[in-house]
Amino acid sequence: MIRFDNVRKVYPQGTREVAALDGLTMEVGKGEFLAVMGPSGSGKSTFLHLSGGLDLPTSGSVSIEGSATSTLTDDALTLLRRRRIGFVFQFFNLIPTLRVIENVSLPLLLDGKRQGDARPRAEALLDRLGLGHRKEHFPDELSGGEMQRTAVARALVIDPAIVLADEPTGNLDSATGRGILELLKEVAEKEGRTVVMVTHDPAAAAWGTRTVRLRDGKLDGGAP
Amino acid sequence: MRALKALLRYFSLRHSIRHPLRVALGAAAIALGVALYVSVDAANSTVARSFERSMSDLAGKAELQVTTAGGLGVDAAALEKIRDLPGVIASPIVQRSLSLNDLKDGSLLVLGIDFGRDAPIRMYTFDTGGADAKEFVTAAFVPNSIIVTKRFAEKNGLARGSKVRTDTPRGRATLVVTGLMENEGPAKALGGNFAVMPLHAAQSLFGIPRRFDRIEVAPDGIDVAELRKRVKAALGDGYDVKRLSRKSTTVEVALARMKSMVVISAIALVVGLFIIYNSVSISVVERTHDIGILRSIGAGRRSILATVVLEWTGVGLLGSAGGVVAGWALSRALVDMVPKSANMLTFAVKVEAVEFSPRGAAIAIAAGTLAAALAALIPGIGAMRITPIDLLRQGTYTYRAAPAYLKTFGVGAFMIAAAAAALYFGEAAFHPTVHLALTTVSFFAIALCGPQATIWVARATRPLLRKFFRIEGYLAADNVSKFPQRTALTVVAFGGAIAVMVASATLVRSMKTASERWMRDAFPFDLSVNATDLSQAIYSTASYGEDVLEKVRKVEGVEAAYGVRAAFLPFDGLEIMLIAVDTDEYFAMHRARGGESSVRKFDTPEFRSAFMAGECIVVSENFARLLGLSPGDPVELPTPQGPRSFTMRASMEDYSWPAGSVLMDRGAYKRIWGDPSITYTDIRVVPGTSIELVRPRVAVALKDTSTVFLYDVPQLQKVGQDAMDQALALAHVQVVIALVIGFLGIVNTLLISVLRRTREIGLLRAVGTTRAQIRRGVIIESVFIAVMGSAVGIAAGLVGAAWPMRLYILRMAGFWFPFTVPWDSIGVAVGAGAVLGVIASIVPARRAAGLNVLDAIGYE
Repeated sequence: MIRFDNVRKVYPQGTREVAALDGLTMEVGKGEFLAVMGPSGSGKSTFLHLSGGLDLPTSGSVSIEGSATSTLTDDALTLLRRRRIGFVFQFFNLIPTLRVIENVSLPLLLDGKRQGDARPRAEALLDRLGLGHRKEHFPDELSGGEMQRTAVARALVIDPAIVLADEPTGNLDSATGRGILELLKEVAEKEGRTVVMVTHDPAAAAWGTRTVRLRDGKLDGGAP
Repeated sequence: MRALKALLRYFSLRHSIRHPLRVALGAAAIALGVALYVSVDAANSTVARSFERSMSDLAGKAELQVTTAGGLGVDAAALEKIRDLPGVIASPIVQRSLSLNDLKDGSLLVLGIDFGRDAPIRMYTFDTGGADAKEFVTAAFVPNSIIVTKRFAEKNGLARGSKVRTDTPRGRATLVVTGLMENEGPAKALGGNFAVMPLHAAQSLFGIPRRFDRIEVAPDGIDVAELRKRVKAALGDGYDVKRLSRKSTTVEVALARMKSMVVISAIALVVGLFIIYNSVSISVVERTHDIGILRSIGAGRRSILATVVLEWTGVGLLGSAGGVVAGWALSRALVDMVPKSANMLTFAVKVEAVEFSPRGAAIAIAAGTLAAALAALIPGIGAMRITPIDLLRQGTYTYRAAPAYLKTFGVGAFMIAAAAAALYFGEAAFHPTVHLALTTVSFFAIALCGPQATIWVARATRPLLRKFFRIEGYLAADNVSKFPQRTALTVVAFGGAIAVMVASATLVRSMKTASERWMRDAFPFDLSVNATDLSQAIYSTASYGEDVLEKVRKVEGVEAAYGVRAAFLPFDGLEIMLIAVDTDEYFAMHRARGGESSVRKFDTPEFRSAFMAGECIVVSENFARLLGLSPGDPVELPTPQGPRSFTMRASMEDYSWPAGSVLMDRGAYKRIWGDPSITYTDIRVVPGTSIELVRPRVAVALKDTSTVFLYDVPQLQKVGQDAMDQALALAHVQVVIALVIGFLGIVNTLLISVLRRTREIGLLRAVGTTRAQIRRGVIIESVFIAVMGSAVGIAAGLVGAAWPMRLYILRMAGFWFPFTVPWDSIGVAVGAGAVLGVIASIVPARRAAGLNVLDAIGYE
């Protein structure tokens, strides 16, 4: 589903360059729930960004569903994100001026769906995630868990093949975090989607079907 | 399309609702520019159309007019030649503007007509009071009768049988209202201030026996070309047969003044463009986070660009629509102003209501909307370039256009130098439009230089500000240099407003200084006896007989007097002013007055002899410039005997008429044009005699001859000054609007500055900066921007705007006003700049000082 071949990603930092990923080669299979761990600066986030086509490798190749991201145009990458990939962020990243239902239905509207089609789908998903009673609220009226469940709903509303989650429980208390992890597990196991989750927390990583550790842009302990 | 709709609905509209002030400022800036354009356009087309309609109502079915080239009308022989031609309807006309001083609204255009000949051309509907038409005409068309419109009668409380008094070249006359016209056909012209009288009565009253001003000709079953052919063939040489004029030089001049305001509305739109640019830039920065989210969930780059541009295009459209409404209101004021200005020159325009110009409104809305769209384009491209990665690295992204300020400074400086060189060396070659375009280019070039210049100035003044205003001054200068682009744009926007103010003041001052000097120079007399009330019309050619001059010369205390005949001559599609003077007395009076009179430069016995023989003339400097004449060149003037060549002997400074004037001997004029009447008589009193003693004596001597108006030199200077003030009143409107826009620009920038620094202000407050210090910092920043703007504006106003506008006047009227720097106005500009700076800072300073520390620190 996602394949990294000898991927190197270098960022300028002041006058020098820092390699966030340094010759990484690995693969994420379909329906897999992969947990990515590692200390700060190990390249976890960069791995996630490249997996979602948010960024491109400096060298090497990243393939998503068989397409090398470096060969895709910006429009094609945008379309890929819009239709095949759902993102869940640590700080939720909901649009504060939009109600919950609007935040969730937005990806469908961006894909050209009619309001009449997008809204019922978003409502169904919110009901499923226990947010049916909050759909007309604004993000700042929700608890942290509710905000993150809204973010998950937004990621799932497009029926993605891949869900990428960056520290999805990092900003939540443990009980609420557990609810989100259960949800991600269900998404992978029951719906057959590929889930890649970056986390610091070993307890969270334990929910994954596989865990990899990154250190200095490489797999800690060699190839998985 | 649906994606774009969703973005506009959820991304743009929500944001705009949350920031109404910013949206309102952008919209207001555009609205002002649009309002200015719409008002000028509406007033312009209203006045022009009103004039055309009046001309059309007056013309009736007439298509051609016959005159003699001399401008003094046609004789009865011409009528004999054409009146019985097949397919030709000819009607002789005597036309005069009368001022019936006893009435409330007594300006009246009178046509002397032969009713039998004129009826097929103009459809008069008389109120016959029950009599049949023939009886009515027989009774009404008697000597000393006048038939007025019902509207004029109602306005002035007249009825059949009422008597009205008027002054004519033959003295005072009483006319009897013998009939009324329904407000139809020609009676609709000039708001009903129209009358007819019998042709022979008009000829007698106005002192032109057996002559007409023109013969109007209408076709009867033939086309106009054929009509013209037949009339020309019948008349032979010596007559002008041309299309009935529906234009007037005087109205064109009045309209041209107003049209110059369009330039200012363009500058206003450019300033509005800067304000929107600033607003969009900051709204993009504020929404970086949201744009990042949208990009990560699949919003395309082009959709983001389209959203930002469409959002502000919408604001532009809204502002433009508001501007059309505001412009509509403003046009009413302008419409009141322009006819007054036009009618000071000639009685021709009567505006009843402002006419809506859909074309003008559409152009203004399109221009306002386009300006907003253009302003949003560059920040929109910036928004388009925001990658989701920028979102994920929160707080690190700040929107900046190319930071190569030094490079853009170089480009700007080059553009300014090129524009200046083109203006300087190409002065004569370029059309005024090119000059205006170069000025606009310079304006943008200054904007390009702005950011780097701002950095330099801020750095240079930082120690000074720190010394005088301590930490607040330092922070203000630091902030200015941190965001040089934003500051520079505001400086340029405000500078534009000040430039308009300074340019306008420079022009006004130059014109006033020159015309005041000219009036001092051109008036060698003490008292002037006029046939017209100059507070009503300064260019009236109303006249009286030579007996007035003779009587004046005999008044005790009058040392010398000369008569002047002022008339308008058709010349090269324009009307030039012919001023005929009694040579000996005129030049003697100039010599007796002494001083550096420009007239004395060519006053020699040989010149006077040739002048009185009618061989040579003197022309105004603007006439010489417009025609490229030098002394010795021949000037061909139309005379009743056909074109006649005069030698131009000299030119003299004369600002009295935009199309130029010609000075000749009155004796020669009388011989050639056969017109002995006098427009005004200038008197020099016996040295040592009080003017106030002589004035009543003159009035008494003339009381039974004619109504005259007496003016001493200061009064005449005041009349000239008032006329100029009237014409320049529009300039003041421009200045006020420009300043309001510049002011909005500063408020906008400061609000943005405070918003951008919310976190910084919070931190400053957290480490002990007081609210008062924060407030002072914002005020200092504001005044800093205003003072820099004033400096840019003064330089640009003196060089960039006044220069081309001066050239524009030179091209239009040939007037070359010596450049006068209005130092006092510049002082006012600097003071106004600083005061506006302080006022503009009030709301932003309050907002900054009122921030909650914790909220501010948490602000992203």
